[in-house]
Amino acid sequence: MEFSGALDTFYAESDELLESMEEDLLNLEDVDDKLESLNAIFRAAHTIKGSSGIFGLNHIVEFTHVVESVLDRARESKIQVDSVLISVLLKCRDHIASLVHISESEYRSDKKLTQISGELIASLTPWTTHSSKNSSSEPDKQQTGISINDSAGTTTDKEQIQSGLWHISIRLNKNCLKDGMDPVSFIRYLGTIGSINFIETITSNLPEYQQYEAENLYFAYELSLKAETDLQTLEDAFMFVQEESDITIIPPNSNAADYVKLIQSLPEEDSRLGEILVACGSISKKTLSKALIRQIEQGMENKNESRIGEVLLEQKSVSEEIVEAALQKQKESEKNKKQKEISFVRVESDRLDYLINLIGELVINNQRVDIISERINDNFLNEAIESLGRFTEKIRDAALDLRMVPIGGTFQRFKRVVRDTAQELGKEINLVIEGAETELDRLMVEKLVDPLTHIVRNAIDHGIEPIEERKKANKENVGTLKLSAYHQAGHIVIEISDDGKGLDQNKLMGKAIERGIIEEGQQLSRQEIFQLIFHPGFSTAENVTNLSGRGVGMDVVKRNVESLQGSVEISSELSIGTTLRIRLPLTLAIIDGFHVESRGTHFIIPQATIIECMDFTMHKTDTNRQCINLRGEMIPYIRLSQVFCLSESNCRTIEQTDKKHRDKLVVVQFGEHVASIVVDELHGEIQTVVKPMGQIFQNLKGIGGSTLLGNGEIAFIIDVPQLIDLAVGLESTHPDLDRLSENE
Amino acid sequence: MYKLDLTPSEHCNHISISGDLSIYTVADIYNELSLDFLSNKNININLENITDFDTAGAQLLVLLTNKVQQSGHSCELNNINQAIKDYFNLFQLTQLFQLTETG
Repeated sequence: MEFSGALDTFYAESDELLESMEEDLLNLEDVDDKLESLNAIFRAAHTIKGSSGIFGLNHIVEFTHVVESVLDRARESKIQVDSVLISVLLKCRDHIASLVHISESEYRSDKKLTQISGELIASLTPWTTHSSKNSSSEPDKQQTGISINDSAGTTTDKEQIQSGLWHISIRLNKNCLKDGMDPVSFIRYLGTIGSINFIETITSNLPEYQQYEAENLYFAYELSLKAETDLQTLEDAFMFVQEESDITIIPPNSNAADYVKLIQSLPEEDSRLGEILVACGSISKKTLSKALIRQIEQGMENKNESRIGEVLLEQKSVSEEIVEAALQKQKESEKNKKQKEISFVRVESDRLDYLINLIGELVINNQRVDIISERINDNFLNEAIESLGRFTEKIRDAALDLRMVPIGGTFQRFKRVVRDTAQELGKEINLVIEGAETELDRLMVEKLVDPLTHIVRNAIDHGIEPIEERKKANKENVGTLKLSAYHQAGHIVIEISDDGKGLDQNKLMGKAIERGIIEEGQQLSRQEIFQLIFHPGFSTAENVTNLSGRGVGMDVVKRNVESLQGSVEISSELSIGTTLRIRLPLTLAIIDGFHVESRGTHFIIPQATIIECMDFTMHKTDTNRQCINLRGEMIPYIRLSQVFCLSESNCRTIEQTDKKHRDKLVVVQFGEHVASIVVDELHGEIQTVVKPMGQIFQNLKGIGGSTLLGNGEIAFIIDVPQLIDLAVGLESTHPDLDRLSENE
Repeated sequence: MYKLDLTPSEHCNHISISGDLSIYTVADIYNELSLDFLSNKNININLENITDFDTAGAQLLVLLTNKVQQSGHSCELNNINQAIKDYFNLFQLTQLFQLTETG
């Protein structure tokens, strides 16, 4: 049988489930209502186990089974979910993740993996054994005053309700009134045995007016009774009406399943009964819904194993059916969940990339047609081309949108990083996430994980102080690390900020001098000093821990970010904290550009960075400082021709050669920097399909890629931040370079 | 023994029951009530002089209230005595009815 296709689906599905499992596990510590998360985690484990079984991946089944049973006990509140258990479960999750992608024989021959399995199963023992007294976990007390006890010694999987209340369900014979027995007498008698906690009279059984028989009993009763008595005494109270009556008495400390059974056996609507039982205080809503779900899952386990993919769906639809009948609220949340899942289609990312690529070509061809139509100058053609252009733009945006994903998913991963790192270092850290819904290109997201991880670890390791130090500094014991994202001028900005000790400028300078990165007495701006941490091999940590400072320095972070056309800025206040700001373009595939020309070479400046364009000659310049006076503000300028050493001989466009250059100025902004670029010609807005530069041009600064123009010529896409850097570098090494070129 | 008075008025049909409203009388009371009387106006049921009340009586009151409300009118129970109040409280039925007092 051809299994490989199905196996791929299994891998993809398992990875997804494991990812959400991790997220839910991390959430467990924060949320008050753990049940929902626990159920989700359990379902994930359950589905992975089931699917693994189908493929005969017994090693996964064996291990996951143990984890699953612990999760089951947790969601039934038999064991308390504390941070110790969460840590162990997280490790188990990681182990399942490594088991998923290998075959059983590979597993059996891998001693390390089998050993980890053994160790993890052993570490779960406190939660798998039934006497919870020896473990760190105590049975959970529920808010409703109902506590659930471990049913040691009794049947394994059932749960006891310790409300101390008897629940009595009364459906009397319809002739009872005629026979001279009014329910009121039973109720009053019960009142003498104990105290009635709650009675619900069920009136919904009354027939239509015309069918009404006045002497029949239609009312039914559910009541809870607080009484120190025994079953026999209570049963005796109903001895005269036992015939054709239906009396159910559930003693205190019964199993939740008994209540479910009661609901299912009674004629009234299940949802109403569920509510009544909860109102009576006989059982808590949580416990009841748990018991109901448990029922469903038991039902499922009895069935033959379903095909992968169907498992989850089936589980959901079945639970929807029954939970709908039981608890309205539960039903709603399940339904929402289901709708959410249906609204996604799984598409291979390669296909999506191919589509984007094709649209890129479409954009280029559209521009070509545009140029040709200008030459022909036919009104109808122009109109048609214009509308074609509009739609091409829409298709482009829609296609790019497909690749956009919220950054929240990536941020979520850092919960784990923060948790693990903080635990390892004995620090307490609260992770705050803001702007999780901010979207950016999926490709960028993938490339961002490593640099972000490094920054986050660094912040925890070097930024946030140990608890004693924080106490001395009058700070809260718990440090705060904030990850936030937002859009700003065509870019996405990701901020990682901590409330730690901040960067010490003197220390940074000292270290840099010691390492020979800068010379003694060299004057650096604040930002330049901070940027020193990105210098290769720079580390200020007095003790190199195994977390950060293991060779992968912040220089790698900067390089990674720059490879995404981004930049990193730092702001820091001593003893207040540090903020790293990563600024990235929204997408790398297609951008709105501004087409300019210098000495016959075409360039594209990303539109998002441009503030304005103007005539260069109309402004006062200070050639000594390479600055231009723009409405009273001094702004540095650079000439593209000078930066890239372009001369007239490079000129390729014939019509341009005899034209006298008239310098034009493009004012650009990047982050807090404003600079201007001097070019020969402004050609206007253009949609630009970014083609990355080949390997050999990787060290070429100031150019982020190339593109094909509609007329077939190649244009270089300017990397504005790099260009500004380059210009600053040029200025400091050749202060009078610009003057030289002017004199030429 | 019971006494049933049905008094139609411009805005509201009045029902007055006195004496027994229990298993012994509910069938007769039910038969004496006409559906027409119950469903064309708001209803006010005066229970001031009820002497005996039981579950059969309670069922009939719920039935009447439901019927009137179904036809889009309101149904008030007027001047219920302490015994009925106690019964309603015991069985948590009070919220089903619109209770009024007239001096």
